[in-house]
Amino acid sequence: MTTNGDREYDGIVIGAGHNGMILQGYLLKAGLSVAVVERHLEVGGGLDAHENPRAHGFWHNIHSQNHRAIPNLPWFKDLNLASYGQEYVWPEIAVGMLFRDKTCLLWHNHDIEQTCASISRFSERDAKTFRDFHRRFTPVVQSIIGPETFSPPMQAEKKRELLEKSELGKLYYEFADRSISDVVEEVFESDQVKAMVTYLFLLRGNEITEVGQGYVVPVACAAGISSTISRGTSHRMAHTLNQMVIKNGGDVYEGQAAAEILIEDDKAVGVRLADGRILKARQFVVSTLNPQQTFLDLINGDKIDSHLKKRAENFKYSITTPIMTVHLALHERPVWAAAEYDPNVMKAWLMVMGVDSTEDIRVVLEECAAGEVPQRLQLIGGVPTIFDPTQAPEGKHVAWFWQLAPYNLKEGPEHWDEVIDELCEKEIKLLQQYAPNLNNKTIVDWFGQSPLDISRHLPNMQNGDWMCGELSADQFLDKRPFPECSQYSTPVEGLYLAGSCCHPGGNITGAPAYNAAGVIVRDMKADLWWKAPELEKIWSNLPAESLAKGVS
Amino acid sequence: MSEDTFDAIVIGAGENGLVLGNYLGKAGLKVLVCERRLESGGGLSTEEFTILGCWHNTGSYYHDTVQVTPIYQDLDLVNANTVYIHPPVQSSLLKRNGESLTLFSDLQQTESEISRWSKEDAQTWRRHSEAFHSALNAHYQPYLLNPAQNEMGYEDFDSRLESTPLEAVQADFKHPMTQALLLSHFMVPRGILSNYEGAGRFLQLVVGTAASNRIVEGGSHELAQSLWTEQLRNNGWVWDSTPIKRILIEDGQAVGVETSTGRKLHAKVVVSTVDLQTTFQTLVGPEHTPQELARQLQAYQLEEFSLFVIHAVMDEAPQVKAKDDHVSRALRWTLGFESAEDLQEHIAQIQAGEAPNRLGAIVSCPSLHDPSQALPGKHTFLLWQVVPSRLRSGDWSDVAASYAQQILDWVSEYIPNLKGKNILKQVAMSPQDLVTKWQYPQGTVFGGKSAGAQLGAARPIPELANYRTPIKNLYLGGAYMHPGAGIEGAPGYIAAKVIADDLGISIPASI
Repeated sequence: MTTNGDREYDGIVIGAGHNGMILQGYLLKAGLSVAVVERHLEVGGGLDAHENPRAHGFWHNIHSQNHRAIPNLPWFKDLNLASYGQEYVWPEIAVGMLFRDKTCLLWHNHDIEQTCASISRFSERDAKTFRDFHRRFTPVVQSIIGPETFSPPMQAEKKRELLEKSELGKLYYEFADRSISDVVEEVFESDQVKAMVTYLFLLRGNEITEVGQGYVVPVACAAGISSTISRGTSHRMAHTLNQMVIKNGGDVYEGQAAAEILIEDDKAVGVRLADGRILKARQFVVSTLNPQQTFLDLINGDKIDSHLKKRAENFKYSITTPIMTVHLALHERPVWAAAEYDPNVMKAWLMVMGVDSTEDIRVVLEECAAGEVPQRLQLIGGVPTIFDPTQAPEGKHVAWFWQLAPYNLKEGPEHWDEVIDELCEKEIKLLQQYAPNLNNKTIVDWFGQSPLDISRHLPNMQNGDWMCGELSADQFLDKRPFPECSQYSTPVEGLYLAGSCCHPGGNITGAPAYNAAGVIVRDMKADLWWKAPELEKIWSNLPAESLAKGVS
Repeated sequence: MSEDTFDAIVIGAGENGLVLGNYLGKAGLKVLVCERRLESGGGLSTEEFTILGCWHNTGSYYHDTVQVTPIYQDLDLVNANTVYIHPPVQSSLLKRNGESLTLFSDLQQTESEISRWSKEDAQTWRRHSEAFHSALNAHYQPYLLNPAQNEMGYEDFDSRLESTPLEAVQADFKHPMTQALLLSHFMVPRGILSNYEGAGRFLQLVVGTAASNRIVEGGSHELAQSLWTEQLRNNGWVWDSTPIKRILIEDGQAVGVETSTGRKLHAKVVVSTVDLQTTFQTLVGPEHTPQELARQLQAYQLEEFSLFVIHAVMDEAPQVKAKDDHVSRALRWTLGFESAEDLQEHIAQIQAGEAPNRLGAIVSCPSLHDPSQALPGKHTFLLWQVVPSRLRSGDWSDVAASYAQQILDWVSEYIPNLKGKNILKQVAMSPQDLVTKWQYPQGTVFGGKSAGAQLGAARPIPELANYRTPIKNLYLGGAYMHPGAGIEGAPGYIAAKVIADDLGISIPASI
């Protein structure tokens, strides 16, 4: 967007990632005039895909790959995103764990019985536990997890007080007060199931040793993985959101980095762009960037109190989320050797290799903590073109695979540039053990991306942390990113936060935006045109006696 | 109206499809433009595919008919973010010995420059240039922006209806450099080889636009972005990643389209901007394509030539070996053609299906003129070598890597620092890549051979020359339609007028 001179809006959003644009959509439909400013020439943040310059017609998602249940999420429906031609594909089988002995474990996207059948080949007891959790925790998902995700977080003590009055709440805390690792170890017996559950949630951004997240285990059995794939690549979703904003009368300033959040008399009054132009905000400025960017880079040091500065400085990034990626352009799809054990594996979306037990995970995390270039290789990834042929020329395929890898190598992050290609070659060799048909003849092209590349492309993801902030106990729920800002407002009048550094964290959830929208619209006394969950009401009305006990 | 019903559906969100969609949208129609690729814009494509912060125009780059077509004013595109840069040093033909002939945006300067080599050519240049601008409103625009006709009713055009560009150029201009420069402008961007029958008619137009080259600030894709933004603001929709499987036809009428995922979308009017073979063989299907039309399509000719493209990021700006300083600031460098004979030799190889064993390229350093397209201190480099769209033997993919290197070796004779460590990254695209990237028919980019019977009133073929097709409510708006010759957005513009006429609605078409 190029306009001559300064412009004025009710509010400005900084960062046109999915959160920025979803927020803008809600605010526009509430009758406010809103502009979003975006550093890159293309909007979308983590919703990004590039066409391979050595293999034209092959498109690679370079960040976000797997979207969870997007068409069912409230903002997808509220903002009528299907009307922009946005389609999602639901793979029949969400996850295929491929083990070294060529067996596999399949987590079906919709069918709990099929998942249990796959589990029971390893452990009947684990299958029973899984099915049991599915039954007992479905109401927890509906009444606790779901509403909590799409609400500003309730203060921890108040939450406990309310929830512990009900059976469902008590059940929730039985697991919430523990860590994922501990719960997994206790409730499952087979290496395979333990590995699957632990690994998938590690890759979802959870901190597996943190107390407070153990509920994720039974909740996962109930909710499933709900994998969906954006047709046309993840970046198609960025286009959809961009169009939704335009349709609703919003302005998008792409290729215009925000240089300063203007503060006058302790109030946020606008944004200065890198080219010097001023966008005035009559009522609010929202940042979807991380706390260091928002409070330390974009606000003049004189205009912000030292306590807030300290909070921002101390905001931590995860060392367990950074990943490296190997991208492939292929003449044919991988044929998994495990197909002999279970032919259904050919229909699975997210494939995991090199994770046979939690021991494999432990070693990888140790390597990450030590700043080592990965030696214990393991991959999670998929072939989107099996489900969406538009992402490559007809009959061809693209694939992506992630390996957990530290940003801060002991030689320094820049060392990634020296080692990424060699690591990719090793990862491809690992891949070939699981899909022997991948070789020089079937691989058209490959390239790698390191944690350093992530932070270069998206500075918001400091230290390559795509979760945009460690999900540690002190940066979780009502303390995320820190207590003063957990309700999306900040101590600076008119300044709000709505990015992945807020509850519930990173991934494509749209929840930070959805939640911030409610807060801002209420503060602006504008039209609250959608129906958001009323957390206190829902939690106050949970039955004292459980529905969760059910019929044995 | 339900979500799957529209007033008009346009297949292909290239420039023509988006222009068309915009005009109809401004007339109040609910228009959907469907695009196969993730990125709309077709040839209006700018990609960050070398290093972060460096952007490359992978398709269209020079826009020289910005003042010929009315789309910028009619669609208010300037306010929607299309800013054009018009560098003062426009186009230099550079010889191996460092001599050059340059066109400037200032006609006076151009005239002085040409008169260094030929006073006569300088005068002829001025005459044609002024005549083109005087005749623009009254003659050129009505001809170029309305359905196909043969004659323009204007002497400078009509007197050359049977000439080849070579004949027309050599009749009016004497110096080898003037001839070579003009013929290279015929080639790119007009899409016309020197021996194309009847294409000599465009001589005055080529002279009149040769110093009108403008580039879009931020890259050509910004124009596409503006177009679809305006489309959305005007009751329209643009769905990318939406390949169309077929056009729905009932009782000989187009009633909508079916997407590749089986979604059926309904419309009163359907327009195809994709190539003719795909339109009729795939989207319409042989069962709905009348015999005479099928027969004419069989005989339809694509142009024999295309572009072999090299994009690069350089550590320092290209240093051209030229006697005149201003050459280093030119937007466009034509290298390898020093006379009309050079072009003929080059064309002979092309028409024999051989990758030319000589340089014949149009070259530019976009970041010199628009620094936003590169990281501070780095430069983007673009080269178009004119080549056959298909090789007589073998595939482009087999020879692309070595041919790219060969071209760079040739170019380094003119630009000595285009080598070694100074090239940080490069990407080559052969005509075969243009097929996988854009489904351009047989790798051609100029929209059909602008020669003989495929010019004028019968363009592209008699059955389809007036934008309508034998299938009621199915129209055509692609680059292969009149006026050809790379007049930007004109086919989309004319298609909008024809459809508006048929529907009895009024669009804001100022010409």
